[in-house]
Amino acid sequence: MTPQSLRLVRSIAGTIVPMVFISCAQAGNDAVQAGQAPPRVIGKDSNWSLRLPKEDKVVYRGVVSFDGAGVGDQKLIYPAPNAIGFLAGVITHGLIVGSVKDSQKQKLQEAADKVLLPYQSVLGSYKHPELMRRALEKTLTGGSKKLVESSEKPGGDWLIESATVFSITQDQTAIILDNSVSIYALNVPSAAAYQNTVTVVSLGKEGTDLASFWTANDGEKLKEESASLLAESLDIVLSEMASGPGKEGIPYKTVRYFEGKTEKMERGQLVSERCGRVLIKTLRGGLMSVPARPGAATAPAADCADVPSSLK
Amino acid sequence: MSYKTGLALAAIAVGLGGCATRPPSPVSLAEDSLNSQTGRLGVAMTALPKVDTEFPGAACLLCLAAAATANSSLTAHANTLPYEDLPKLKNEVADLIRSKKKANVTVIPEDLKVGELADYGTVGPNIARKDFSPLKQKYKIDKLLVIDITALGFTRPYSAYIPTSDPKALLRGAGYIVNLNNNTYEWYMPVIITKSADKNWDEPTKFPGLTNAYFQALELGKDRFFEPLGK
Repeated sequence: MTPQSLRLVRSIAGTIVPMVFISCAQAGNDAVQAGQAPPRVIGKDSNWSLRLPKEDKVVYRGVVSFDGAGVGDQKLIYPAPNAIGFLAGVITHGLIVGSVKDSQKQKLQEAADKVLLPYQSVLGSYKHPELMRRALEKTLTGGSKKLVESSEKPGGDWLIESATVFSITQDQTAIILDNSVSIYALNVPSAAAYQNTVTVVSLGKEGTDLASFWTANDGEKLKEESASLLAESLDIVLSEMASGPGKEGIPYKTVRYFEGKTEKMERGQLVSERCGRVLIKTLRGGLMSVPARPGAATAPAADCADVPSSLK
Repeated sequence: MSYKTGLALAAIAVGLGGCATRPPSPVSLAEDSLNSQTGRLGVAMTALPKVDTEFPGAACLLCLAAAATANSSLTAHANTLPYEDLPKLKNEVADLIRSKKKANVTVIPEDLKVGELADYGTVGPNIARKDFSPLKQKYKIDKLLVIDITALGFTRPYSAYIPTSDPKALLRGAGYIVNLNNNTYEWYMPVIITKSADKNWDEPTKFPGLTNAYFQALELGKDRFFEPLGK
């Protein structure tokens, strides 16, 4: 390789590549750091408040797969009257491909969201105050608990902020909640004592007309299932905070479970198995509660009353 | 893939491009191909490849060097990932065939080195390019089932210098059965599994999303090998 070629390689690697990747890398670092706030131990009978988000609308979307995403090979000859012209060609190519990739992902999500069409009337009227009120009634952890407005001064010992995104599988058999939770001790309100993301996958439902099942009676089943998932996620983080750290020694394994009728796998540490549910600590440090595989012998529990009946 | 390795591989690829052979066409497994009356079956695996990265489409020397440099952190991470229980796949396949097909199965303990077999003299549809027949005497078997995993890790397609997709976890290989009496394929199934990371992929240095996808690809790959043999 000639010295000119080597300089060109350094130039490409040092100039163009970081430009293409730097925004993605930054986003990834932020996500990892967000899950690493040092947890404090919360008392099992502590009083807590759940703060309503400023946005009323509850976010639902269709489950999407990006396994097939990609632009494909485009044979391109760069105009290269000189090194600057060549670099300009490469940069332009990168911008075009980046734009096409983003657009493709957006289109895949839009196509996946079409599964929500039969639910529009229900979802349009299901707001955070109703979702969180229902969920709060279903939670079992802690002492007294109450719902507070976004601008209201909370009471109790702890304040929970929750950002939820619900997803419906394409076969409409299951709902998945991704809940980003922050918990603040009210004597130190400036910094979150605990932050994590909890994913809860509902049990798969059987039936031929599941849209009617979920939306009947003004969407009562959909509303109740969503609230159960939210309650389960809050109970999980509060229990996690109560038990404190100490899961470092649990070996990693690939856990299989069903998301509706589709078999899925997640790599992580198996935190607990009980009452037909499996709790995993994921590679990102998040928590994930999934249905146990049919026939799997989950550890017997003397009392499963703390697990909502719709989830076990 | 390191920068120097990338350059070396690109040079070799250019040199050998004309020697590439077409992979065999898929052959479905006949229902009566494996049972207690079809003779002894050997089950073998080729050596597992290094868990690594690949950048198809980065076809020029500079493109490959740029791709290798841009993804060096992911490559370094890929090289640390374990095979998990993939080396036991031949034992699991043998157990599955014993239980479902009632066939007489022997697991070949050592890695099969297909490249060291002589070329077979006859060329034709479903005839293996390599001569597997000497293995009949060596292992006292009538048919040989081979699990040949050729790529593990992550793949990221490029168009010259520009990535056209996010990296995805990859398992690529083939499963096949050779009848050692006539050196023909009784089953040939290419396997290609690609899995994207959920949410972000670019999370150095541990790449949790892509690592999760890698272990998903291992499981899905095993399922793909099991599926036709467990019917």
